[in-house]
Amino acid sequence: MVSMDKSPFLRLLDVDRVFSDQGRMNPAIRGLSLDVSEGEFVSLVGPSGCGKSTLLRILQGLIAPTSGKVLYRDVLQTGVNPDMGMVFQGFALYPWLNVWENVSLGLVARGVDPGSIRRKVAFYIDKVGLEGYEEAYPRELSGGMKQRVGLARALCIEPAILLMDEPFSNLDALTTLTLRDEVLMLWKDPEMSVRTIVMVTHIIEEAILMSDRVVVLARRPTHVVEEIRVDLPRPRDRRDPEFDRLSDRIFSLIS
Amino acid sequence: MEGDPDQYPGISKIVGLLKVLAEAGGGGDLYQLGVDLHLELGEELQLVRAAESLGFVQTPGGDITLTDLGRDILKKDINGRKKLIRERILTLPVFQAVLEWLSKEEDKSLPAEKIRKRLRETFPQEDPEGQFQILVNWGRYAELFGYRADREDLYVDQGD
Ligand SMILES: Nc1ncnc2c1ncn2[C@@H]1O[C@H](COP(=O)(O)OP(=O)(O)OP(=O)(O)O)[C@@H](O)[C@H]1O
Ligand SMILES: [Mg+2]
Repeated sequence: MVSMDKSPFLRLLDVDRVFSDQGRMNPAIRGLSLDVSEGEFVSLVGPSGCGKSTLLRILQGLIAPTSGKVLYRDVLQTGVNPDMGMVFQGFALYPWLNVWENVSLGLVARGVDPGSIRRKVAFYIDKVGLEGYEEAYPRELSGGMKQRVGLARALCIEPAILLMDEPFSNLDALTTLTLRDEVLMLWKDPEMSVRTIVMVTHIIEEAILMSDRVVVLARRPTHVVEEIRVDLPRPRDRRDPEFDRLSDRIFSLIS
Repeated sequence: MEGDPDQYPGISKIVGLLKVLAEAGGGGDLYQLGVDLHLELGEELQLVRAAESLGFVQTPGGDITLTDLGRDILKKDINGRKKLIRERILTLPVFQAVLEWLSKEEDKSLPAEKIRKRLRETFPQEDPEGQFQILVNWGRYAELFGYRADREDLYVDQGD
């Protein structure tokens, strides 16, 4: 699944990002370099407030690095990358729109023709298990169903890369178990365009359960402290002794 | 439909419970499970009862064990789970009753108020609001019912 190309699929090179805060320069990211291969599931973990969400926004091209570069398929990224979908912690659904309308938003914004919108929205609603909920409003949905809407919306623009910012942290523990499994199923589904996932999480166990590689970030201004490959067979078992070893190691790097 | 959507046991939560049981070797002590999951007793029992009504767990004495069906569903993909749960939901008396009420209507639909009233009459031992929320949410999940919040009516989902 990992690309045989020499040049990495997605690459951050010596990225800095400074925010100006009431005239004061506030560095959030300093000297951060990271490569992501095609087909990889990468998790970013790091202390709270260290700059994880900022990093995802830079990857997507929503904000520019103050210095340094973002390369996607060897091309310098200058604006928003249309090949990326984003899933948010707070679901980011419009309360006055129903499930169908919330999912279709990204396609409508891209000016896709109505016939293709209908086809794609129906397809991805079905894929995430939301068929039957088309006319439900967000207030009628459980957290798990809300995040499926967020997933369908991100997937239906048919991105190559899915970015997820703490996608399960507003869900109860049991719903989280189910959604983690289902996101992994979608990642491995040959009918999905998404092959590569970058997920921010503050739960070490989640990072180890889901990803091929865990990138540990430093306190703000953040950079990569260490990258830890997770070679445990899938589906993974939290009771695997290797699991604890990895988890202790990541924990000690963060604290 | 208004109200806290988490007052009924959602499907994703039930599947999560089954996963926890599978990881614990297929079962355990009901009381300990609640402690481990940080669930209040009321919430735990509601969830366990829902899983039991669908045939995914059994609760002999103070224990809880996964059934074969409960193990099977974990092995299925997203739509495989949906299909199996639909089959199970179709065996529940309350769903059978409501499907029958709706099918007798010319437009295959009934106002929420009528459904609640009939639920109170037919299943007096159950909480009608809880039953109604389950009808709407599981019914949507299983693609059995649709519910139009603005018109407050429940109808038979006949697919598109
Ligand atoms: N638009 C902005 N303007 C000014 N400062 C910002 C802006 N966005 C982020 N910051 C600052 O950059 C730093 C990193 O923020 P960011 O939200 O990326 O961190 P995070 O790791 O995602 O935090 P959390 O763990 O809370 O999710 C913080 O100090 C924050 O205050
Ligand atoms: Mg953040």
